[in-house]
Amino acid sequence: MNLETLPIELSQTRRAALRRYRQSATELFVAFRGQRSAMLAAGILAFFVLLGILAPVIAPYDPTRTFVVDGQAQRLQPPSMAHPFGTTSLSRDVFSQWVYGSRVSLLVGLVSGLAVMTLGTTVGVVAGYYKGNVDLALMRIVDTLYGVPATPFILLLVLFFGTSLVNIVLAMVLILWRTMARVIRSETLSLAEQPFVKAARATGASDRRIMAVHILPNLLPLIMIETTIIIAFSITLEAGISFLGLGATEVTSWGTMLELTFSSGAIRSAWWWVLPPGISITLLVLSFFYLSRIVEEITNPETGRFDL
Amino acid sequence: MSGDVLFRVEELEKHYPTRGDGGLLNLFAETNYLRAVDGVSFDIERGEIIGVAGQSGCGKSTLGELLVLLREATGGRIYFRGDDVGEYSAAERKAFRRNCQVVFQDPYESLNPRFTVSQTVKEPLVVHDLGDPAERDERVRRALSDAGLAPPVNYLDKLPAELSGGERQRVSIARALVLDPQFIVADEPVSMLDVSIRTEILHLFEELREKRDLTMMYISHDLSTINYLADRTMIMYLGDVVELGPTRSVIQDPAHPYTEALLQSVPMPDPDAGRVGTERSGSDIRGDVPDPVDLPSGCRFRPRCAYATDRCASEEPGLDPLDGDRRVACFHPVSE
Amino acid sequence: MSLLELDGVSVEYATDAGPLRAVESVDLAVEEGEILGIVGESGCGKTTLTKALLDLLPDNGRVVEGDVRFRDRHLTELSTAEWRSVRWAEISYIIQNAMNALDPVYTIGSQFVEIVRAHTDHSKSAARDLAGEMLEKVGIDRNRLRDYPHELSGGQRQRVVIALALALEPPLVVADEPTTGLDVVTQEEILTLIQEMQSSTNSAMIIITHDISVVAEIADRAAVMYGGRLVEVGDTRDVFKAGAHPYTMGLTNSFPSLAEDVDSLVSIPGSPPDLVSPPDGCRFAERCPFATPECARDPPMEAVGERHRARCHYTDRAAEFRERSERTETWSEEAVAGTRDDDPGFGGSRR
Repeated sequence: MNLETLPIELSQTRRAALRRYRQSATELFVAFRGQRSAMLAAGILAFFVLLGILAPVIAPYDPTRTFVVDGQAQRLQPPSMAHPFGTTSLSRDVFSQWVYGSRVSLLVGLVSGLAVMTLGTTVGVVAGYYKGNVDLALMRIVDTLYGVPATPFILLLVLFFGTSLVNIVLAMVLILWRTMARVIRSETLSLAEQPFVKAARATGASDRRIMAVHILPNLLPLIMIETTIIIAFSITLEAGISFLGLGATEVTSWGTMLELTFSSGAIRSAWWWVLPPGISITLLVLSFFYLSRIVEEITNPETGRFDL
Repeated sequence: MSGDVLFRVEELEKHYPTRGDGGLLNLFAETNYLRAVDGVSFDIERGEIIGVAGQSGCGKSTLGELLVLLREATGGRIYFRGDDVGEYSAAERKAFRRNCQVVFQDPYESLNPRFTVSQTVKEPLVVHDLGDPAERDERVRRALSDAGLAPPVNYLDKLPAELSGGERQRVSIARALVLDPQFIVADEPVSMLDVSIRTEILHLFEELREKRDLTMMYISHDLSTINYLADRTMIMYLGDVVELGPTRSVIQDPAHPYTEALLQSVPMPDPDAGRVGTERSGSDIRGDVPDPVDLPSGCRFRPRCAYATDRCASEEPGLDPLDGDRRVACFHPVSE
Repeated sequence: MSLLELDGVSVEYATDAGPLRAVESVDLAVEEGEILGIVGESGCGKTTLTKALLDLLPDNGRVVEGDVRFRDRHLTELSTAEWRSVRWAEISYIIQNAMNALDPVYTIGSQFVEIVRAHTDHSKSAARDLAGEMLEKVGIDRNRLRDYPHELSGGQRQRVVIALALALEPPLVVADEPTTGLDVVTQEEILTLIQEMQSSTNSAMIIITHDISVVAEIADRAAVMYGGRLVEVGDTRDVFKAGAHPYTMGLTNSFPSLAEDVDSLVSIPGSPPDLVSPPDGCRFAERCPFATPECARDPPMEAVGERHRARCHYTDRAAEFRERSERTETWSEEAVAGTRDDDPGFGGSRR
């Protein structure tokens, strides 16, 4: 794409900005390519995302379909041509479950991540910018939530309100936003002290404008890092909840798969059933954590050379 | 200087409540106040550059922020062109901000790192919704040239990280100029810049005063720069103005013992002036600046003053006229 | 023999844009007990030179040419272990913003003792006594050894750092911007203190600063750096009053002072050269009002007086230049550009 021959009219400023983004995107890509571990993490993530998106195409069977051959229920069958990952104790195809399970984990992770990001950032920025009583009140709430142990609380909520996926996500968001709020608030506090914010106030900018236009964009790197970590954490949390038997009933997540391996006693013998979900959870969470580290390095003004 | 009064400040105060070291007994302890600015009164005339000097913690930066309404005063009044600023409606406050701008010390932190120069300088116009895009571009260009960044088109798309300290400070100045204000508070605008850039910025301020009929309050602890730039000078100590007058008089013939002592500390770029370590006449102001929370009775400079008398312990001197247009807060001014 | 001798020292940084010669062929000597002030603006190389001297260059910096001799040792050839014996005991260093250099989780006393014992065989109590003595010498009560850094004021911390630097009475102390960021009154205290301490221990001192009044106040000799090069060096009085390099003249004339007759300040147009691709010949030429086509040739260091030299082709016309350089018109952009127009091939970019 040659900037000079674009069919649309670009102002001088936009051209310069585009040029800058192209430059940094290229540098980013080159640096990324250089780091093998970064590429690996990216690759793993891409793999799972594609798996989730193309699940109906990839999975050979419906994950709830039971298999009976010659009157015999195909229970706990090791991997075969018909069932590349074998079958469960309920005669279901492990491979199809595994493929569809990726959807649940990713969806839960992304949705909680985004919800926590929105809630945590809003509260954090408002508390950090206004300080005083507003800050005190908001942080009291956050501190109270900090006192609550995460997993037991979520379990209680889910027990009480039902085990749908929505409830689980809501319960997780309720607990997870506290960290985000604190982190964002702390960064906002220091940003708000900077002279350029004072200068914006001196020119008469409203508080809302300052928060949205001056503070928020400068928080982006931190927000991105935190959100990726939260996503990783939610995936683990959901898997844990499902493993404890309180998982969503309408879908089969990786955690639910593992729960059944445990409760049916097959966990020691049916390796084909245990390994796929177990390894996938680990890999997915690790790659999200790793992604957050990469984002941190890129946006770190000391080591990173990019302006995202 | 036109003799036209732009600002009149009366008994302006900014007190911060402090509550001691914490602990149960403090519930019953009376609240102490940190008197950052403690009842100052003065005028600023249109077209003048008034210098405000003093050590760190004397209240000069707070004073500057009070004047441009970046902080709320806890007492006293500010009159801008005759109107009481405290009585302004929200709309009037916003209009006031078009007239009074500020330039800060740190060229790096004064600019939003994500804004291009064009965005930074345009921001005030956007906030006040002035002009259509073409007019805004024109005003931005004019402000940048006036601030010495020429040709402006070379700078519009740059980010602060791509500029030198001097250039960044000029961008801050352009931002302050774009609204065509009448008054600018500059708080240590050159102390973080290299020497040769400093002089350029000082010259720029002089030019702006001429070209745009700008009034300025120049806050600095560097008396040499104030000596060069300011028409009148105010010396602050522990939240109060102790001396005010034409710069030449204040610096060459100080009246207040604190001013005298302060001037003796200033290094001269002249090896023959051999001042360091020489015998001091007057008060010894070395050591830490006293706590603005626990002020002494009477004159606040009394404990360190070489000329203090009993009267100084019991009465607090007001900023009284000395001669001509000089004022000093002292019962025994040292001026010749 | 001088205490410290720099002989043709050049320092290079490896950067993405290519090698950057931050310091070029510097010859400098410091005698026992004297205070040398090195002045220059950002990018002139003074900090790099200091770091090179003390083996504190970052990974991508190297001394690529020349020799640094301290007494009878060649500092550039010392190993890390050998440096350990040199630091504090022979050469100590006061960094910029030194008051923040104290470790906040240890008391002043323990930091003192640690340093003293690392470089001598004093016992713990002897070290503590020494620490107490040093604190008193800098005007702080010795009981404060028990305090943590945050319990002292900024000015007091600065004094502690100075006391630390002089505790072992090293023959050479290097101070990097010791008064920058300080109140004018605190600055005076620190300068007086430095002078007192220095004369009692008879250490030699190198003070790096961009503030020429500091140099005027306490330095015996002054060295001016520009664009990575040493452009003038001599006794302070000579450099200030009889400066022979146009940059020195511009610098001294652009400093505001409390003097009554300060009516105009000079400002040197343009900005320092890009050290990745420095201009040929004199590096100051593109900003110099007295430059001629001759200045495209590298100016040699010319002797101007006793122990006074300047890197300029026209040191014989210094008196005339000094007089002209006091006027602002001499330094106007047009005047400076005009003198170069004789040679169309002149390089350098201007911002």
